[in-house]
Amino acid sequence: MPDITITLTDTQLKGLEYCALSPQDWAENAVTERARIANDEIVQMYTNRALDEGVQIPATRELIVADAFTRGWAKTAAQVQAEAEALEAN
Amino acid sequence: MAGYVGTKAVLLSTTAANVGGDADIGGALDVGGAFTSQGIDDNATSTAMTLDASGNVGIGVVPSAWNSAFDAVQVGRSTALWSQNNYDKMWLTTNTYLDTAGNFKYINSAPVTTYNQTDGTHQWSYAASGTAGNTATLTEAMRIDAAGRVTKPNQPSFRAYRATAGNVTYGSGNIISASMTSTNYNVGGHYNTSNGRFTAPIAGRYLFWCALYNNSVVSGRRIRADINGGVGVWGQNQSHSYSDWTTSGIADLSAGDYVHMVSAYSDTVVFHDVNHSLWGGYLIG
Repeated sequence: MPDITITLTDTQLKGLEYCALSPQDWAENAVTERARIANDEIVQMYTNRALDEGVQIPATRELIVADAFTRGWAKTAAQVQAEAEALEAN
Repeated sequence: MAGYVGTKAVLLSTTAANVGGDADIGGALDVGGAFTSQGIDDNATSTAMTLDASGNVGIGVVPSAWNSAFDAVQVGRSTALWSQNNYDKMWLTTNTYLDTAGNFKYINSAPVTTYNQTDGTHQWSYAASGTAGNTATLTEAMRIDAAGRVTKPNQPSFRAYRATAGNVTYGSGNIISASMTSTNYNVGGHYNTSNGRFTAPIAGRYLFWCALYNNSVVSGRRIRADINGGVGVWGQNQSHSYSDWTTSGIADLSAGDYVHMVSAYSDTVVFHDVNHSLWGGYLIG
């Protein structure tokens, strides 16, 4: 599984310690919750489109998310931005 | 050209004609050559304004292929003011037009926002960024109906409970809300039914509340709602045995801050079910 490493200054850490009992827990929660919400959106989008197009829906949420990217139904934010910039350039 | 100059009918058949004063043209005007004026000029190096055959106007842009039931003034890159031609309905939109099939289409690869008025109702909607030319699916963000009532169907909110009825005993610091894995509603999905945490999607002022049945034998049991594991929303709420913890609090949260409900002492017994023990939250603004 991929790791995301964040380096904080001592002052930034103090700020997080001021507002959260555990900075590590806060950071993990913020990141994993945002990912969960995004994956919920992907699963919803994939399910609707699969039903419309007669595509068999994979058995797990992990497989749905993976297949959504494989099919190009879901794109990374970087892909979306690059495509928009390419269209703008035309 | 047949017409009138002043009050006098004239026939201009020469290769050039200059009219120094006002001209009222009672008949048809056919311009075979260049047409110039101080206001509208077809000699400009680029088209400033287009009035298409459907009666739609584009200022700085060629109008999109609008649905024929609507008349539109489209301005610049993506803004449009349009109305239904047989109904009292108007729209002010960015980055979308209504096509001949009645679908909202993206003009550019960007998000869509719309505002419309119909039958005394004001409605704001949006669509996430999509590809130019594709159909945009609008989601209603806010409405003021004809009676002045405001609704915001996507405002983050939740109400959670434990579906399995029965007592649960919590120790000091145990997360009560972790037991509450069902929701009556969970708009935006920001309440995580796996761990009982609500995580703020955006910075703002949030209201939290609870109504829990205190089935503790021991008196003086207290509950808290903690922000990021430490700072209380409503301090510590205490109730007598066999009564309710009912409390609420307002907290300013930053995006990513989370709130869950905690037992302050040991031997805290909550009788859970959908009718006895609930908690929830709502983004005030």
